[in-house]
Amino acid sequence: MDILIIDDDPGISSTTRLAVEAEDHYAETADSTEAARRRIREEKWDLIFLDVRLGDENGLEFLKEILEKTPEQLVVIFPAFSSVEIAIKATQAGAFDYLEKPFTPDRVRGILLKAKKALSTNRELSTLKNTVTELKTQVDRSGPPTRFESEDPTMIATLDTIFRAAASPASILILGESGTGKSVIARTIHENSKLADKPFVTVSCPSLSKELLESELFGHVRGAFTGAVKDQWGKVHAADGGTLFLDEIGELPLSIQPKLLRLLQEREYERLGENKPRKANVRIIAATNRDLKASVAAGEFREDLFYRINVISVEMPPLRARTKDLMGFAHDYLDHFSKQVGREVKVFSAKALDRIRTHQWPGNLRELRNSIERATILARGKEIEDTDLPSGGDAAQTGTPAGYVVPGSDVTLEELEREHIKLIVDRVKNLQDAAILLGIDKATLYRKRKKFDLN
Amino acid sequence: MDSEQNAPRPISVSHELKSPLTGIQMTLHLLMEEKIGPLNEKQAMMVKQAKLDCDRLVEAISRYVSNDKRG
Repeated sequence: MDILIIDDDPGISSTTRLAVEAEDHYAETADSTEAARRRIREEKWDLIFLDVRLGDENGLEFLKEILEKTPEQLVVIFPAFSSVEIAIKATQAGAFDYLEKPFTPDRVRGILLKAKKALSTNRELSTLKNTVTELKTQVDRSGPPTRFESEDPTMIATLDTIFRAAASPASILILGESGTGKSVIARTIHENSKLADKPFVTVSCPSLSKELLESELFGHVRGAFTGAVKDQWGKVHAADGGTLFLDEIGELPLSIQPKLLRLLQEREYERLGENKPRKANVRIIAATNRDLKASVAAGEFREDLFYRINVISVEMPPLRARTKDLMGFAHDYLDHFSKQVGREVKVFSAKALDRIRTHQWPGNLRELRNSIERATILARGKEIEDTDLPSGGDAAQTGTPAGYVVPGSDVTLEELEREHIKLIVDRVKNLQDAAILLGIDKATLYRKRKKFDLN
Repeated sequence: MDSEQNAPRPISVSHELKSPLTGIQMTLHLLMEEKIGPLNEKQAMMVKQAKLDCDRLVEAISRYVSNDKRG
Protein backbone atom coordinates (compact mmCIF):
# COMPACT_ATOMS: atom_id res chain seq x y z
CA MET A 1 0.00 0.00 0.00
CA ASP A 2 1.01 3.65 -0.42
CA ILE A 3 0.61 5.46 2.88
CA LEU A 4 0.80 9.14 3.84
CA ILE A 5 1.44 10.07 7.49
CA ILE A 6 0.37 13.59 8.42
CA ASP A 7 1.72 14.67 11.81
CA ASP A 8 3.79 17.63 12.93
CA ASP A 9 5.51 15.59 15.64
CA PRO A 10 8.67 14.15 14.02
CA GLY A 11 8.92 11.44 16.70
CA ILE A 12 5.49 10.05 15.81
CA SER A 13 5.71 10.47 12.02
CA SER A 14 9.19 8.95 11.67
CA THR A 15 8.49 5.93 13.89
CA THR A 16 5.10 5.29 12.28
CA ARG A 17 6.81 5.47 8.90
CA LEU A 18 9.41 2.91 10.04
CA ALA A 19 6.68 0.57 11.31
CA VAL A 20 4.82 0.88 7.99
CA GLU A 21 7.94 0.37 5.87
CA ALA A 22 8.91 -2.67 7.94
CA GLU A 23 5.69 -4.26 6.65
CA ASP A 24 6.79 -3.66 3.03
CA HIS A 25 4.54 -0.70 2.34
CA TYR A 26 5.55 2.62 0.84
CA ALA A 27 5.28 5.59 3.23
CA GLU A 28 5.77 9.35 3.13
CA THR A 29 5.33 11.96 5.83
CA ALA A 30 3.87 15.49 5.75
CA ASP A 31 4.20 17.88 8.69
CA SER A 32 1.43 20.35 7.75
CA THR A 33 -1.94 20.41 6.02
CA GLU A 34 -0.37 22.49 3.26
CA ALA A 35 2.29 19.85 2.49
CA ALA A 36 -0.31 17.09 2.86
CA ARG A 37 -2.78 18.85 0.54
CA ARG A 38 -0.12 19.02 -2.17
CA ARG A 39 0.85 15.34 -1.88
CA ILE A 40 -2.81 14.27 -1.86
CA ARG A 41 -3.40 16.31 -5.01
CA GLU A 42 -0.35 14.78 -6.69
CA GLU A 43 -0.74 11.14 -5.66
CA LYS A 44 -3.31 8.50 -4.91
CA TRP A 45 -2.86 7.15 -1.35
CA ASP A 46 -4.24 3.84 -0.17
CA LEU A 47 -4.23 4.98 3.45
CA ILE A 48 -3.67 8.25 5.31
CA PHE A 49 -2.73 8.63 8.99
CA LEU A 50 -3.83 12.05 10.21
CA ASP A 51 -3.15 13.80 13.52
CA VAL A 52 -6.20 15.66 14.77
CA ARG A 53 -4.06 18.42 16.29
CA LEU A 54 -1.69 19.75 13.66
CA GLY A 55 -0.14 22.85 15.26
CA ASP A 56 -2.92 25.45 15.18
CA GLU A 57 -4.89 23.56 12.56
CA ASN A 58 -7.85 21.29 13.13
CA GLY A 59 -7.25 17.79 11.73
CA LEU A 60 -10.97 17.00 11.77
CA GLU A 61 -11.65 19.89 9.37
CA PHE A 62 -8.88 18.60 7.13
CA LEU A 63 -10.40 15.10 7.30
CA LYS A 64 -13.71 16.54 6.00
CA GLU A 65 -11.83 18.36 3.23
CA ILE A 66 -10.10 15.13 2.12
CA LEU A 67 -13.30 13.09 2.16
CA GLU A 68 -15.26 15.73 0.26
CA LYS A 69 -12.86 15.34 -2.66
CA THR A 70 -12.28 11.57 -2.37
CA PRO A 71 -15.05 9.93 -0.33
CA GLU A 72 -13.51 6.45 -0.68
CA GLN A 73 -10.17 7.54 0.88
CA LEU A 74 -9.20 5.53 3.98
CA VAL A 75 -8.11 7.91 6.77
CA VAL A 76 -6.99 6.83 10.24
CA ILE A 77 -6.85 9.63 12.80
CA PHE A 78 -4.59 10.11 15.79
CA PRO A 79 -6.96 11.76 18.32
CA ALA A 80 -5.41 14.54 20.40
CA PHE A 81 -6.97 13.17 23.57
CA SER A 82 -8.22 9.80 24.54
CA SER A 83 -11.81 10.72 24.00
CA VAL A 84 -14.80 8.70 22.84
CA GLU A 85 -16.38 11.94 21.70
CA ILE A 86 -13.58 12.68 19.22
CA ALA A 87 -13.56 9.10 17.97
CA ILE A 88 -17.33 9.32 17.32
CA LYS A 89 -16.96 12.70 15.60
CA ALA A 90 -14.18 11.36 13.39
CA THR A 91 -16.13 8.23 12.50
CA GLN A 92 -19.19 10.33 11.70
CA ALA A 93 -17.01 12.48 9.46
CA GLY A 94 -15.99 9.30 7.60
CA ALA A 95 -12.68 8.29 9.24
CA PHE A 96 -11.81 4.66 8.62
CA ASP A 97 -10.43 4.13 12.16
CA TYR A 98 -8.54 5.88 14.94
CA LEU A 99 -5.28 5.15 16.71
CA GLU A 100 -5.12 6.31 20.30
CA LYS A 101 -1.80 7.69 21.59
CA PRO A 102 0.51 6.30 22.79
CA PHE A 103 0.30 3.44 20.29
CA THR A 104 2.66 0.58 19.43
CA PRO A 105 3.85 -0.97 16.14
CA ASP A 106 1.41 -3.83 16.81
CA ARG A 107 -1.54 -1.43 16.72
CA VAL A 108 -0.20 0.10 13.48
CA ARG A 109 0.10 -3.39 11.96
CA GLY A 110 -3.49 -4.16 12.98
CA ILE A 111 -4.69 -1.02 11.18
CA LEU A 112 -2.65 -1.93 8.09
CA LEU A 113 -4.24 -5.38 7.91
CA LYS A 114 -7.71 -3.92 8.32
CA ALA A 115 -7.04 -1.32 5.60
CA LYS A 116 -5.66 -3.94 3.24
CA LYS A 117 -8.80 -6.00 3.66
CA ALA A 118 -11.04 -2.97 3.11
CA LEU A 119 -9.09 -2.00 -0.01
CA SER A 120 -9.35 -5.52 -1.35
CA THR A 121 -13.14 -5.45 -0.79
CA ASN A 122 -13.33 -2.06 -2.52
CA ARG A 123 -11.28 -3.40 -5.39
CA GLU A 124 -13.50 -6.50 -5.68
CA LEU A 125 -16.52 -4.21 -5.84
CA SER A 126 -14.88 -2.09 -8.49
CA THR A 127 -13.91 -5.24 -10.46
CA LEU A 128 -17.51 -6.42 -10.22
CA LYS A 129 -18.73 -3.04 -11.47
CA ASN A 130 -16.26 -3.22 -14.39
CA THR A 131 -17.35 -6.77 -15.17
CA VAL A 132 -20.99 -5.72 -15.24
CA THR A 133 -20.17 -2.79 -17.53
CA GLU A 134 -18.11 -5.04 -19.77
CA LEU A 135 -20.81 -7.71 -19.88
CA LYS A 136 -23.37 -5.04 -20.75
CA THR A 137 -21.13 -3.87 -23.60
CA GLN A 138 -20.67 -7.47 -24.74
CA VAL A 139 -24.41 -8.07 -24.69
CA ASP A 140 -24.96 -4.84 -26.62
CA ARG A 141 -22.40 -5.80 -29.22
CA SER A 142 -23.08 -9.51 -28.67
CA GLY A 143 -20.44 -11.40 -30.58
CA PRO A 144 -20.84 -15.01 -31.58
CA PRO A 145 -20.30 -17.68 -28.91
CA THR A 146 -16.82 -19.01 -28.35
CA ARG A 147 -16.42 -22.62 -29.40
CA PHE A 148 -14.05 -24.61 -27.22
CA GLU A 149 -14.74 -28.04 -28.67
CA SER A 150 -12.31 -29.09 -31.34
CA GLU A 151 -11.67 -32.12 -33.47
CA ASP A 152 -8.30 -30.85 -34.56
CA PRO A 153 -5.47 -32.71 -32.76
CA THR A 154 -3.25 -29.59 -32.43
CA MET A 155 -6.12 -27.54 -31.02
CA ILE A 156 -7.16 -30.35 -28.67
CA ALA A 157 -3.60 -30.39 -27.28
CA THR A 158 -3.60 -26.58 -27.05
CA LEU A 159 -6.89 -26.50 -25.14
CA ASP A 160 -5.72 -29.26 -22.83
CA THR A 161 -2.55 -27.30 -21.97
CA ILE A 162 -4.53 -24.08 -21.51
CA PHE A 163 -7.03 -25.53 -19.06
CA ARG A 164 -4.34 -27.35 -17.07
CA ALA A 165 -2.05 -24.30 -16.92
CA ALA A 166 -4.83 -21.82 -16.11
CA ALA A 167 -4.96 -22.73 -12.42
CA SER A 168 -1.23 -22.15 -11.91
CA PRO A 169 0.21 -18.63 -11.54
CA ALA A 170 2.77 -19.31 -14.30
CA SER A 171 3.24 -16.91 -17.20
CA ILE A 172 1.74 -18.15 -20.44
CA LEU A 173 2.81 -17.27 -23.97
CA ILE A 174 0.17 -17.69 -26.68
CA LEU A 175 1.55 -17.99 -30.19
CA GLY A 176 -0.36 -17.83 -33.42
CA GLU A 177 -1.28 -15.78 -36.44
CA SER A 178 -3.54 -12.75 -36.20
CA GLY A 179 -7.19 -13.63 -35.82
CA THR A 180 -6.67 -17.11 -34.37
CA GLY A 181 -8.38 -16.12 -31.10
CA LYS A 182 -5.37 -15.41 -28.85
CA SER A 183 -7.20 -12.67 -26.90
CA VAL A 184 -10.21 -14.93 -26.31
CA ILE A 185 -7.92 -17.67 -25.05
CA ALA A 186 -6.09 -15.22 -22.74
CA ARG A 187 -9.40 -14.22 -21.15
CA THR A 188 -10.44 -17.86 -20.89
CA ILE A 189 -7.21 -18.65 -19.02
CA HIS A 190 -7.94 -15.79 -16.62
CA GLU A 191 -11.55 -16.90 -16.11
CA ASN A 192 -10.39 -20.42 -15.31
CA SER A 193 -7.69 -19.30 -12.90
CA LYS A 194 -7.77 -18.51 -9.19
CA LEU A 195 -7.69 -14.84 -10.18
CA ALA A 196 -11.03 -15.00 -12.01
CA ASP A 197 -12.63 -12.45 -9.64
CA LYS A 198 -9.63 -10.11 -9.94
CA PRO A 199 -8.97 -7.62 -12.75
CA PHE A 200 -8.09 -8.71 -16.30
CA VAL A 201 -6.29 -5.85 -18.03
CA THR A 202 -5.22 -5.81 -21.68
CA VAL A 203 -2.35 -3.79 -23.13
CA SER A 204 -1.98 -3.75 -26.88
CA CYS A 205 1.76 -3.31 -27.38
CA PRO A 206 1.84 -2.07 -31.00
CA SER A 207 -0.97 0.47 -30.65
CA LEU A 208 1.04 3.24 -28.98
CA SER A 209 4.36 5.07 -29.28
CA LYS A 210 7.21 3.92 -27.03
CA GLU A 211 6.71 6.71 -24.50
CA LEU A 212 2.93 6.38 -24.36
CA LEU A 213 3.15 2.60 -24.10
CA GLU A 214 5.55 2.88 -21.15
CA SER A 215 3.19 5.35 -19.50
CA GLU A 216 0.16 3.18 -20.25
CA LEU A 217 1.91 0.21 -18.66
CA PHE A 218 3.59 1.75 -15.64
CA GLY A 219 1.92 5.17 -15.27
CA HIS A 220 3.65 8.53 -14.99
CA VAL A 221 4.02 11.56 -12.76
CA ARG A 222 3.20 15.12 -13.70
CA GLY A 223 5.85 16.61 -16.00
CA ALA A 224 7.36 13.21 -16.94
CA PHE A 225 6.90 14.16 -20.59
CA THR A 226 5.17 16.83 -22.67
CA GLY A 227 1.46 16.53 -22.03
CA ALA A 228 1.79 14.74 -18.68
CA VAL A 229 -0.28 17.30 -16.81
CA LYS A 230 -1.12 15.13 -13.83
CA ASP A 231 -0.05 11.94 -12.10
CA GLN A 232 -1.42 8.81 -13.67
CA TRP A 233 -1.44 5.17 -12.63
CA GLY A 234 -0.73 2.60 -15.31
CA LYS A 235 -2.29 -0.70 -16.28
CA VAL A 236 0.16 -2.63 -14.09
CA HIS A 237 -1.40 -0.90 -11.09
CA ALA A 238 -4.90 -1.57 -12.44
CA ALA A 239 -4.05 -5.26 -12.88
CA ASP A 240 -2.46 -5.64 -9.43
CA GLY A 241 -3.61 -8.95 -7.96
CA GLY A 242 -5.02 -10.07 -11.30
CA THR A 243 -3.91 -10.76 -14.88
CA LEU A 244 -2.07 -8.46 -17.26
CA PHE A 245 -2.53 -9.51 -20.89
CA LEU A 246 0.20 -8.18 -23.18
CA ASP A 247 -1.12 -8.48 -26.70
CA GLU A 248 1.48 -8.63 -29.49
CA ILE A 249 4.39 -8.63 -27.03
CA GLY A 250 6.78 -9.14 -29.94
CA GLU A 251 6.27 -5.42 -30.68
CA LEU A 252 7.34 -4.34 -27.18
CA PRO A 253 10.22 -1.84 -27.62
CA LEU A 254 13.63 -3.03 -26.37
CA SER A 255 13.89 -0.09 -23.97
CA ILE A 256 10.73 -1.17 -22.08
CA GLN A 257 11.66 -4.85 -21.93
CA PRO A 258 14.03 -4.58 -18.87
CA LYS A 259 11.23 -2.86 -16.92
CA LEU A 260 8.81 -5.64 -17.71
CA LEU A 261 11.46 -8.18 -16.73
CA ARG A 262 11.91 -6.40 -13.38
CA LEU A 263 8.16 -6.52 -12.82
CA LEU A 264 8.15 -10.25 -13.51
CA GLN A 265 11.21 -11.06 -11.41
CA GLU A 266 11.00 -8.63 -8.50
CA ARG A 267 7.31 -7.63 -8.70
CA GLU A 268 8.52 -4.04 -8.74
CA TYR A 269 8.22 -1.14 -11.17
CA GLU A 270 8.55 2.63 -11.28
CA ARG A 271 6.26 5.17 -12.83
CA LEU A 272 7.65 7.29 -15.65
CA GLY A 273 9.51 10.31 -14.22
CA GLU A 274 9.64 8.90 -10.69
CA ASN A 275 12.29 7.03 -8.71
CA LYS A 276 10.06 5.29 -6.19
CA PRO A 277 9.77 1.53 -6.53
CA ARG A 278 6.15 0.33 -6.48
CA LYS A 279 4.96 -3.18 -5.79
CA ALA A 280 2.56 -5.06 -8.08
CA ASN A 281 1.69 -8.72 -8.24
CA VAL A 282 0.38 -9.59 -11.67
CA ARG A 283 0.10 -12.77 -13.67
CA ILE A 284 1.37 -12.21 -17.19
CA ILE A 285 -0.26 -13.71 -20.26
CA ALA A 286 1.41 -12.63 -23.47
CA ALA A 287 0.52 -13.21 -27.09
CA THR A 288 2.38 -12.72 -30.33
CA ASN A 289 2.21 -13.62 -34.00
CA ARG A 290 5.97 -13.23 -34.25
CA ASP A 291 8.62 -15.90 -34.03
CA LEU A 292 10.06 -14.67 -30.73
CA LYS A 293 13.07 -16.98 -30.92
CA ALA A 294 13.99 -15.34 -34.21
CA SER A 295 13.46 -11.92 -32.60
CA VAL A 296 15.84 -12.97 -29.80
CA ALA A 297 18.41 -14.09 -32.38
CA ALA A 298 18.00 -10.78 -34.22
CA GLY A 299 18.58 -8.85 -30.97
CA GLU A 300 15.07 -7.39 -31.02
CA PHE A 301 13.81 -9.24 -27.98
CA ARG A 302 15.63 -9.93 -24.71
CA GLU A 303 16.47 -13.57 -24.20
CA ASP A 304 15.93 -13.40 -20.39
CA LEU A 305 12.47 -11.88 -20.89
CA PHE A 306 11.63 -14.49 -23.51
CA TYR A 307 12.41 -17.33 -21.07
CA ARG A 308 10.54 -15.55 -18.29
CA ILE A 309 7.28 -15.25 -20.26
CA ASN A 310 7.72 -18.56 -22.02
CA VAL A 311 7.16 -20.74 -18.94
CA ILE A 312 4.22 -22.35 -20.70
CA SER A 313 3.58 -21.69 -24.35
CA VAL A 314 0.65 -22.72 -26.49
CA GLU A 315 0.23 -22.46 -30.23
CA MET A 316 -3.07 -21.47 -31.76
CA PRO A 317 -3.19 -23.26 -35.12
CA PRO A 318 -4.33 -21.23 -38.15
CA LEU A 319 -7.91 -21.82 -39.25
CA ARG A 320 -6.79 -23.40 -42.55
CA ALA A 321 -5.11 -26.15 -40.52
CA ARG A 322 -8.29 -26.74 -38.47
CA THR A 323 -10.22 -28.25 -41.33
CA LYS A 324 -12.30 -30.38 -38.99
CA ASP A 325 -13.43 -27.36 -36.98
CA LEU A 326 -13.95 -24.95 -39.85
CA MET A 327 -17.56 -25.84 -40.71
CA GLY A 328 -18.55 -25.82 -37.04
CA PHE A 329 -17.34 -22.23 -36.72
CA ALA A 330 -19.09 -21.25 -39.98
CA HIS A 331 -22.43 -22.63 -38.77
CA ASP A 332 -22.04 -21.03 -35.31
CA TYR A 333 -21.40 -17.64 -36.90
CA LEU A 334 -24.27 -17.99 -39.36
CA ASP A 335 -26.66 -18.98 -36.58
CA HIS A 336 -25.53 -16.02 -34.46
CA PHE A 337 -25.58 -13.32 -37.13
CA SER A 338 -28.89 -14.41 -38.68
CA LYS A 339 -30.46 -13.93 -35.23
CA GLN A 340 -28.63 -10.65 -34.65
CA VAL A 341 -29.68 -9.06 -37.94
CA GLY A 342 -33.13 -10.68 -37.75
CA ARG A 343 -32.94 -12.55 -41.05
CA GLU A 344 -34.07 -16.06 -41.92
CA VAL A 345 -30.70 -17.00 -43.44
CA LYS A 346 -30.05 -20.42 -41.98
CA VAL A 347 -28.00 -22.40 -44.52
CA PHE A 348 -25.09 -22.23 -46.90
CA SER A 349 -25.54 -23.32 -50.51
CA ALA A 350 -23.42 -26.26 -51.69
CA LYS A 351 -21.15 -23.86 -53.58
CA ALA A 352 -20.83 -21.62 -50.52
CA LEU A 353 -19.81 -24.60 -48.40
CA ASP A 354 -17.23 -25.45 -51.00
CA ARG A 355 -15.91 -21.88 -50.96
CA ILE A 356 -15.59 -21.98 -47.18
CA ARG A 357 -13.74 -25.30 -47.38
CA THR A 358 -11.29 -24.22 -50.10
CA HIS A 359 -10.63 -20.63 -49.03
CA GLN A 360 -7.40 -20.34 -47.08
CA TRP A 361 -8.70 -17.90 -44.44
CA PRO A 362 -5.42 -15.98 -43.97
CA GLY A 363 -7.20 -13.69 -41.50
CA ASN A 364 -8.31 -16.79 -39.60
CA LEU A 365 -11.39 -16.73 -37.31
CA ARG A 366 -11.64 -12.95 -37.51
CA GLU A 367 -11.88 -13.11 -41.31
CA LEU A 368 -14.41 -15.98 -41.20
CA ARG A 369 -16.54 -14.13 -38.65
CA ASN A 370 -16.53 -10.87 -40.64
CA SER A 371 -17.18 -12.67 -43.94
CA ILE A 372 -20.18 -14.51 -42.55
CA GLU A 373 -21.55 -11.40 -40.86
CA ARG A 374 -21.29 -9.55 -44.18
CA ALA A 375 -22.77 -12.49 -46.12
CA THR A 376 -25.72 -12.75 -43.72
CA ILE A 377 -26.54 -9.08 -44.23
CA LEU A 378 -26.09 -9.16 -48.01
CA ALA A 379 -27.68 -12.57 -48.77
CA ARG A 380 -30.53 -12.20 -51.31
CA GLY A 381 -32.48 -15.26 -50.23
CA LYS A 382 -32.56 -17.72 -47.38
CA GLU A 383 -29.23 -19.25 -48.37
CA ILE A 384 -25.73 -17.85 -48.31
CA GLU A 385 -24.34 -18.15 -51.84
CA ASP A 386 -20.69 -18.55 -52.75
CA THR A 387 -20.78 -15.08 -54.30
CA ASP A 388 -21.63 -13.62 -50.86
CA LEU A 389 -18.33 -14.98 -49.52
CA PRO A 390 -14.78 -13.83 -50.20
CA SER A 391 -12.93 -15.35 -53.12
CA GLY A 392 -9.29 -16.43 -52.86
CA GLY A 393 -8.23 -13.04 -54.24
CA ASP A 394 -9.54 -11.22 -51.18
CA ALA A 395 -6.83 -12.82 -49.09
CA ALA A 396 -4.23 -10.49 -50.55
CA GLN A 397 -5.88 -7.64 -48.62
CA THR A 398 -4.87 -9.19 -45.32
CA GLY A 399 -1.19 -9.24 -46.19
CA THR A 400 -0.87 -13.01 -45.86
CA PRO A 401 0.02 -14.98 -48.98
CA ALA A 402 -3.08 -16.37 -50.65
CA GLY A 403 -3.28 -20.11 -51.09
CA TYR A 404 -0.67 -20.66 -48.42
CA VAL A 405 -0.64 -24.35 -47.65
CA VAL A 406 0.14 -25.58 -44.18
CA PRO A 407 2.04 -28.82 -43.68
CA GLY A 408 -0.10 -31.12 -41.56
CA SER A 409 -3.40 -29.74 -42.85
CA ASP A 410 -5.59 -31.60 -45.36
CA VAL A 411 -3.39 -31.08 -48.41
CA THR A 412 -1.81 -33.48 -50.85
CA LEU A 413 1.94 -33.83 -51.26
CA GLU A 414 1.55 -32.37 -54.73
CA GLU A 415 -0.19 -29.25 -53.40
CA LEU A 416 2.50 -28.90 -50.76
CA GLU A 417 5.27 -29.28 -53.34
CA ARG A 418 3.65 -26.75 -55.69
CA GLU A 419 3.26 -24.19 -52.89
CA HIS A 420 6.82 -24.63 -51.68
CA ILE A 421 8.33 -24.23 -55.14
CA LYS A 422 6.14 -21.18 -55.80
CA LEU A 423 7.21 -19.44 -52.57
CA ILE A 424 10.91 -20.15 -53.14
CA VAL A 425 10.84 -18.96 -56.75
CA ASP A 426 8.98 -15.81 -55.72
CA ARG A 427 11.49 -15.09 -52.98
CA VAL A 428 14.92 -15.64 -54.60
CA LYS A 429 16.44 -13.61 -57.39
CA ASN A 430 16.95 -16.29 -60.03
CA LEU A 431 16.06 -19.87 -60.90
CA GLN A 432 19.60 -21.12 -60.29
CA ASP A 433 19.44 -20.00 -56.65
CA ALA A 434 15.91 -21.41 -56.32
CA ALA A 435 17.09 -24.81 -57.61
CA ILE A 436 20.00 -24.84 -55.14
CA LEU A 437 17.64 -24.02 -52.26
CA LEU A 438 15.20 -26.71 -53.34
CA GLY A 439 17.99 -29.28 -53.68
CA ILE A 440 17.16 -30.08 -57.31
CA ASP A 441 18.84 -29.24 -60.60
CA LYS A 442 17.67 -26.42 -62.85
CA ALA A 443 16.14 -28.80 -65.43
CA THR A 444 13.99 -30.52 -62.79
CA LEU A 445 12.86 -27.14 -61.52
CA TYR A 446 11.91 -26.16 -65.08
CA ARG A 447 9.83 -29.36 -65.48
CA LYS A 448 8.09 -28.89 -62.15
CA ARG A 449 7.24 -25.26 -62.86
CA LYS A 450 5.72 -26.37 -66.15
CA LYS A 451 3.80 -29.19 -64.46
CA PHE A 452 2.43 -26.91 -61.73
CA ASP A 453 1.79 -24.06 -64.15
CA LEU A 454 4.10 -21.71 -62.29
CA ASN A 455 5.50 -19.87 -65.26
CA MET B 1 -6.16 30.57 44.27
CA ASP B 2 -4.53 32.25 41.21
CA SER B 3 -1.83 29.65 40.92
CA GLU B 4 -4.47 26.90 41.00
CA GLN B 5 -6.42 28.56 38.15
CA ASN B 6 -3.27 28.97 36.00
CA ALA B 7 -2.12 25.39 36.56
CA PRO B 8 -2.57 23.23 33.44
CA ARG B 9 -5.49 20.78 33.51
CA PRO B 10 -4.41 17.13 33.81
CA ILE B 11 -6.09 16.25 30.49
CA SER B 12 -3.95 18.85 28.70
CA VAL B 13 -0.86 17.60 30.52
CA SER B 14 -1.81 14.13 29.38
CA HIS B 15 -1.77 15.22 25.71
CA GLU B 16 1.52 17.08 26.10
CA LEU B 17 3.02 13.89 27.52
CA LYS B 18 1.34 11.36 25.24
CA SER B 19 2.67 12.75 21.95
CA PRO B 20 6.39 12.47 22.84
CA LEU B 21 5.63 9.25 24.70
CA THR B 22 4.25 7.75 21.45
CA GLY B 23 7.54 8.46 19.69
CA ILE B 24 9.52 6.92 22.56
CA GLN B 25 7.26 3.88 22.84
CA MET B 26 7.26 3.24 19.06
CA THR B 27 11.06 3.58 18.94
CA LEU B 28 11.58 1.15 21.83
CA HIS B 29 9.16 -1.41 20.37
CA LEU B 30 10.73 -1.20 16.89
CA LEU B 31 14.19 -1.60 18.46
CA MET B 32 13.03 -4.58 20.52
CA GLU B 33 11.51 -6.20 17.43
CA GLU B 34 14.86 -5.56 15.65
CA LYS B 35 13.00 -3.97 12.72
CA ILE B 36 15.78 -1.41 12.38
CA GLY B 37 18.65 -3.84 12.83
CA PRO B 38 19.98 -6.54 15.15
CA LEU B 39 20.85 -5.71 18.80
CA ASN B 40 23.61 -7.30 20.80
CA GLU B 41 22.79 -8.86 24.18
CA LYS B 42 23.58 -5.76 26.26
CA GLN B 43 21.69 -3.42 23.92
CA ALA B 44 18.67 -5.75 23.96
CA MET B 45 18.72 -5.80 27.78
CA MET B 46 18.89 -2.00 28.01
CA VAL B 47 16.11 -1.51 25.46
CA LYS B 48 13.98 -4.04 27.33
CA GLN B 49 14.48 -2.13 30.57
CA ALA B 50 13.68 1.19 28.89
CA LYS B 51 10.53 -0.34 27.40
CA LEU B 52 9.40 -1.56 30.84
CA ASP B 53 9.93 1.95 32.29
CA CYS B 54 8.06 3.45 29.37
CA ASP B 55 5.13 1.02 29.89
CA ARG B 56 5.00 2.07 33.58
CA LEU B 57 4.94 5.71 32.55
CA VAL B 58 2.09 5.11 30.08
CA GLU B 59 0.12 3.32 32.79
CA ALA B 60 0.75 6.09 35.33
CA ILE B 61 -0.48 8.78 32.92
CA SER B 62 -3.62 6.76 32.12
CA ARG B 63 -4.32 6.42 35.84
CA TYR B 64 -3.74 10.13 36.37
CA VAL B 65 -6.21 11.04 33.59
CA SER B 66 -8.93 8.63 34.82
CA ASN B 67 -8.62 9.96 38.41
CA ASP B 68 -8.99 13.49 37.08
CA LYS B 69 -12.13 12.53 35.08
CA ARG B 70 -13.68 10.92 38.20
CA GLY B 71 -12.63 13.79 40.46
